[in-house]
Amino acid sequence: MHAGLDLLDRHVVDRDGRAVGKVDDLEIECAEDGTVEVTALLLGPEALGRRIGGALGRSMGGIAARFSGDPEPARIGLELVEELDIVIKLKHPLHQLPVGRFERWVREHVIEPLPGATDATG
Amino acid sequence: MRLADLLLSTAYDGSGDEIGQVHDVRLRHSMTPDGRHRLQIVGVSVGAGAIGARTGYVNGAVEGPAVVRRLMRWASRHAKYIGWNELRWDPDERRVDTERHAGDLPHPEDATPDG
Amino acid sequence: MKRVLGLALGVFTAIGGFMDIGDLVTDALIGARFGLALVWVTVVAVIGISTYSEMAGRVATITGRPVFDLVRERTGPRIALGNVVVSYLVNALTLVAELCGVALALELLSDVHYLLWVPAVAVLAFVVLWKLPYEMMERVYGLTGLALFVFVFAVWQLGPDWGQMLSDVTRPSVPAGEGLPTYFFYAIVMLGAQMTPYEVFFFSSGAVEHEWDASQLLDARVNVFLGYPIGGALAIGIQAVAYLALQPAGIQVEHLGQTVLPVAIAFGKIGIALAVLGIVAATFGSVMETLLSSSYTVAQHFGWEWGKAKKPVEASRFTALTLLTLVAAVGVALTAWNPITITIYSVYLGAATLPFTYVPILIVANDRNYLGDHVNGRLANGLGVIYLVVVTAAALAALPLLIITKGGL
Repeated sequence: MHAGLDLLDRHVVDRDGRAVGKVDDLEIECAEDGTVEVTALLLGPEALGRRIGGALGRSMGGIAARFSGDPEPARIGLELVEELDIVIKLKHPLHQLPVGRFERWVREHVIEPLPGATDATG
Repeated sequence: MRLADLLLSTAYDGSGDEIGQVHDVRLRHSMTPDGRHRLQIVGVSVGAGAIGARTGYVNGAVEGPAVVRRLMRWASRHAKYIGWNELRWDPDERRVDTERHAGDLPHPEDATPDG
Repeated sequence: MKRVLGLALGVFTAIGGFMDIGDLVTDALIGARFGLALVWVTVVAVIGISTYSEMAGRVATITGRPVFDLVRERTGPRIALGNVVVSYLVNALTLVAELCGVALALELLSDVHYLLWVPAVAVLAFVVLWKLPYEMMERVYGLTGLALFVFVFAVWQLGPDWGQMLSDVTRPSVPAGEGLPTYFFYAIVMLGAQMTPYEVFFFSSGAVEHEWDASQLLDARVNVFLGYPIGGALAIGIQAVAYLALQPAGIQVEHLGQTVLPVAIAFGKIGIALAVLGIVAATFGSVMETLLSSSYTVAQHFGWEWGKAKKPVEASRFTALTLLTLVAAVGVALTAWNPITITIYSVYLGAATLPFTYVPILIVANDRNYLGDHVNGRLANGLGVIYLVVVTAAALAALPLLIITKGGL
């Protein structure tokens, strides 16, 4: 398995198939015996910005930090992963995961105030 | 630490010559007894060849069209694989150093995980 | 009946793609200036867009993922980001043109200035987005767009010399007074207007909105192989009647009224009514198609929940972006920037970005991890590579030809 080929930029969904985001980077940790393991998926513009690198990447991370007030990317520990396939499936539903702040903000402040926002269009 | 730090690192061989940038990382995937995924880094692909790796023509499951495949693999012909136990990684310097010589290193497609 | 209605996505996509404001004016303009000498370009475009739409549709039904989702995985993060920014801008620019297009068609009917119609069209687009079920949208605008077949029937009515027409189509020649560079300039304009990037994204996303799965692969294919030829037939119809009615009189096409003129000659008031009805439906369909495609690509790139068929609260960022794009497009349209100019820019930029749109689709359609045994066969790959060469050549030739011909004068 390869990180770039099989993990990075993959779509992540929750237990019920709802969109969580894309894998923008991976958190890795060194063990005492010198081996290095992937410990978490990292999501969000801060993670993506650091991966893109250069001035563009830094500005992406900067904008994201200013918006959310939190410079760290969303972290999903590897223990929360159910399946690593075409799509990465997590063990828990969205509301139990440390993600989705941007979506919730837009939902509360932009969409819900509009009439009919909760009606199904089918 | 982030994988991005490794992907932005440059590799140097035993003679101190630059081999190229790390463009992909090979992992060993296993499951622990209690159902958790384990992903251990076992090596890196370096040098000119990111496009073949990324699009899936090298080490991936993309086979056609034949002419595109030939083009991608030709563009990736100088890529090299270094096993994790053959290298030292300095995250702060963004450097990967190996004692081996660039010419002895296998192509990522030919390499067994341990090099 | 259900089977017929199941074709609505293909027909809607094709009519929106082949009969948008750019096509409507270009087809008539080309027919009046070049006769039937560029009909072959439409045939080429139909085959090309069908090839890539089939791939995108196959990926969507087998993997359940729209093609842009997978594009990000197969190109580097920098390239994918560049791709999505450019796609969004081109789609949004095209949206501005289409908004003006519907407004211009309504101006034809009502003598009310088109700028006054633009906000009304945008409000209708909002209502369709917010309230109208996805399948109703396809059916109403796609099937009403079939009224454009009046152009095809008008060909018969104008009583042409069929032998001469066949010869003009199969042995095209540049008319006297037109240069070869201008001929190829318009060939590229027409190819770009008919093979637009948003058609493929929309069809692939639409397949996912319909929740088609692997068992509906045949449905997806029928949609493609019936829808686009219908679009092509309509485009050829418009070229043909322009050639029959306008070329002999030396009429140049500069606005929408002249596109409709041949149908007026053939069928009088009934013809005009049907033509304008079809034009309003088709251009409004394009409004929805380009509007949704803009936010589809962004949402799919960043992994947001998306879908017109979903409740707005279930896909908040996607919906918010769609509304924002609509409002911004109205703003740009109201600057009274010439709609024909906007159309030409959007067609040009679309043509220039086509290679970047198609390469990842071709790669994804060959990936066994995604499609298993449903990867491209020899035919799909053969056509895929040929068309990649065609669109790349067109993209490279576009700017030089624009300069040489001074914009097709």
